[in-house]
Amino acid sequence: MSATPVVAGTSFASPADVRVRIERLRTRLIQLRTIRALLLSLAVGMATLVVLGLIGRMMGSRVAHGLVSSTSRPDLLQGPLPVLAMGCAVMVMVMWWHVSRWDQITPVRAALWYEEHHPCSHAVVTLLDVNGAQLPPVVAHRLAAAAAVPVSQRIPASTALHRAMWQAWRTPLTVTLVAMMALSLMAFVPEGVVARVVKAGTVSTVVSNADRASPLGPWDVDVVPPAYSGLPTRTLRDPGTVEALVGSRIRVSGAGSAAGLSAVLTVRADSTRPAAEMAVEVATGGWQLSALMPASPAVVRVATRIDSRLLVLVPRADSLPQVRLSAPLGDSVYRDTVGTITLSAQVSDDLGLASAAFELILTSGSGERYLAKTMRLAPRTFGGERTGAISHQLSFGALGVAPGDVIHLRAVARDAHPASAREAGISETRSLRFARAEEYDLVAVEAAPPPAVDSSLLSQRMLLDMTEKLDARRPRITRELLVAEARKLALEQARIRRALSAVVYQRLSGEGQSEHVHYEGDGHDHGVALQDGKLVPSFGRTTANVMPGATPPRTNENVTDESPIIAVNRPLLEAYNAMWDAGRALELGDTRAAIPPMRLALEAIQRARAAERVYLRGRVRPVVVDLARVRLVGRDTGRASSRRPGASTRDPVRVADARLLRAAEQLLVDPVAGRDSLVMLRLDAITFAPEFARALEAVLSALTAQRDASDALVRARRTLMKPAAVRGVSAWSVP
Amino acid sequence: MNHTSPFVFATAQYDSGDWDSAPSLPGNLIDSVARYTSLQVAPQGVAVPLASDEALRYPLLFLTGHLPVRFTPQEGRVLQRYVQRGGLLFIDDHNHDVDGAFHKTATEEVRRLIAPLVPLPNNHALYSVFFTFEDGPPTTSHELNGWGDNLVHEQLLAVRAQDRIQVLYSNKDYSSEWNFHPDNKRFMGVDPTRFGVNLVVYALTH
Repeated sequence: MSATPVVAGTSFASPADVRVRIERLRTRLIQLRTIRALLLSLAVGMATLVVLGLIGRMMGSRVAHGLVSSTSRPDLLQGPLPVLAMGCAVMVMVMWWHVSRWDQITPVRAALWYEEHHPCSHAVVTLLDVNGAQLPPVVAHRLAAAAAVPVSQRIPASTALHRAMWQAWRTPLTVTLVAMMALSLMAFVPEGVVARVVKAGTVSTVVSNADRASPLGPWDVDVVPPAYSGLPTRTLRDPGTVEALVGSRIRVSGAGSAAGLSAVLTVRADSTRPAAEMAVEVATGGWQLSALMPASPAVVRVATRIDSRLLVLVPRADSLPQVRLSAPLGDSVYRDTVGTITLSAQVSDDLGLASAAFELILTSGSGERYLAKTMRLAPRTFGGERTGAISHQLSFGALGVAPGDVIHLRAVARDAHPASAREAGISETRSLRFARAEEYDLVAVEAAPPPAVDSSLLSQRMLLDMTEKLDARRPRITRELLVAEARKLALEQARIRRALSAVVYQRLSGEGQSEHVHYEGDGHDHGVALQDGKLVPSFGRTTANVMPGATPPRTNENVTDESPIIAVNRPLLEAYNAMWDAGRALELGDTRAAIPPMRLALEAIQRARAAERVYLRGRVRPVVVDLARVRLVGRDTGRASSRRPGASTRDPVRVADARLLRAAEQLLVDPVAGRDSLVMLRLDAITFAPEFARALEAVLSALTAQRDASDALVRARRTLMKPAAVRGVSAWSVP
Repeated sequence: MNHTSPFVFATAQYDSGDWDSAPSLPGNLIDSVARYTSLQVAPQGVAVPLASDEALRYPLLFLTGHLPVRFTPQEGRVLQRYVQRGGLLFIDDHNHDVDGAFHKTATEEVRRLIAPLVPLPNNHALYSVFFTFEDGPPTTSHELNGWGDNLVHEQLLAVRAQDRIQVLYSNKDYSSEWNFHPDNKRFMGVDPTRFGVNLVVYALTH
């Protein structure tokens, strides 16, 4: 701007001079307004660029992850050219808006501006407003003289003009300068910092020019599998997830400075294992770090002072060899200790087999003395084949087995994994038992005639049939014939009763003698005693306990007032007493009255027989504890100790669902953090919900590819929370 | 089983060995539980196949034997579910022999299916939950007589999860110590089954 005074020192000597100078002032005012409009449009344009840049930085992740709907066209914000175009457009619009609102600056308006700063009673305005040529010269000169102000009162017009210029340009200039500084700062600050600045409200770190190439840009990952696996090395370009064999060497390398770069390895499944710091080394053209693939899913967080990035490590376990024992197919019991059987097994492994063999344990002995001998048979070495087979002819004679010995046989295979504590793949175990001679005796015993109780059963059943037939003939025969026949049956009933009593006495007292020499008060205790022809326990129990039809107090656990011995033999006592009643009725010729107790006796004998069934294997002889006797009380009033409920196990599915919802909400507020949450959730889900982890991988892929991830999120949640099928018709269905 | 149901002593029935080698043991332990505690207890134990989900109904499973232990796949699955759902499996080596087939195979099976066995501290709650055993697990006459491996085992072995015992393993041959005839208990100066009471109470309260 020219510093030449426009109207300074003007005394307006003549009207023409006034017009010339006002015209010069008018020109300067037009220039001032034009420059102000340019500055204002520039300021607005620059501010627009800054705002777009901020939005781009803040929304960058969301845009990249496609979480903003396509209608908003956020991709327009990408790249410098579209942004510059939008800034220019704004500048033009502001300029046009100003120009369209401009009023013409006429000489009169310039004169008014002049008189606003140099009051002279509107002489200059009058001189210019009225055509000077029409004014009388005297008037014109007087007006020109009136326009002259005493020098002491004048304010130089240039000063007023400079003040007006400063006032008009100050604001747009300030805005332009600030916007330029902001754009310069954004050009140096890495991606993601703006969002953090906005979130945190301040920038605590000064970023140097050395960090301009971000070390968290694309990285390369070299996967070197363990040597024993024989797998080739592979290189992945900028992966977010690396899946590799456990023990593989993972090398991550990237461009940019290693200064200020840190890395932490966290094994997710092992809460007791702290996060491990990883050494970041300087490499050619950038940095690199290295880690061994752990046995559980892990995450590597690589961070600068202001930003971070995750690399998920998904381990692939080296499976144990699979072993199938195809011969022998099942457990066996052998009668002879000589002979040969064929052993065969198929083995396979995901990487390669190292060896396989049969493992055999020969156990000899009985009671408290057992000797075991372990041996390996038919060992075979493999050279890394993935499948194979082993077989062997096992000679019992060569083993030196004896009756009673047991062979536990299985096949074992190992792979090339070098760990000393490496488990072997095993097959199912077959038990081969060699029978003892006594076991054949047991078979012979079973073939023997039925025991005494069973004989009683048969006779009692036949006697009941005969009594029922006699009762059916009763209306057609005479009383004398009926009584005679009934007394024959009574004799048979008495014989059975005596046989039964011998069994009862044998069991309760260990004596083989029968009822005719035992009675209550005979001086010694036989466990039972005769009372009115009936047997009752003599352990201080009442007759009612053993009388037919008198049901003793009994619980589900057989808690009664009687001893276990009485309890076990109770059916026989009931049978005996029922036979007594039946025999007495038959003696009187009352067949109708004899039938019910005979049926009771038969039913009781059957119960006794069932109770005495012996199972050689599969069930132990029951031990019944007399709880009331142990506790020295008639009734147990104790209650089980209050159990402290264990800590409820948190359902990992519910927890994962809650985390998924939180991450989805977080995506809208802080896309970077939301994505990291999804990465960590996928990492944890690998162990308990692999399908869900795969669905989350699709979500992350969609975010990375800048696609809308909404559908993938919904699918992931459906995978996690599988809807349960509901039986029947739903409540709102039309019946 | 709700908390008012009586405690039922269950013996694990597995396919490969002589699981029923201590037939009198359940009755003697039930007798002790009834004698010393106010717990509701069933007067008769049960033998439950380890391959059946029935095993999941019992808070304490007792497993013993002399012969090698090789669980079938189904037995292994049930066993894993059993300990995960809060059950306590008590394994006792009836051979009392660390070189014996039972010890070698049973510990291998536990390591394969659940986790390795580690020594249980002698100040663990198991030793004070009812009776107090200040020196840890009580010795057995079989240990003191030098039978089996001729060792007095100072500690039991266990697999624990969050300090709850999932599997308790004994080399001390409680199967022989507690397998006496029920009538002989009255002649004993010290009831050897008192530690069994601690086992039951621990299983019911942890």
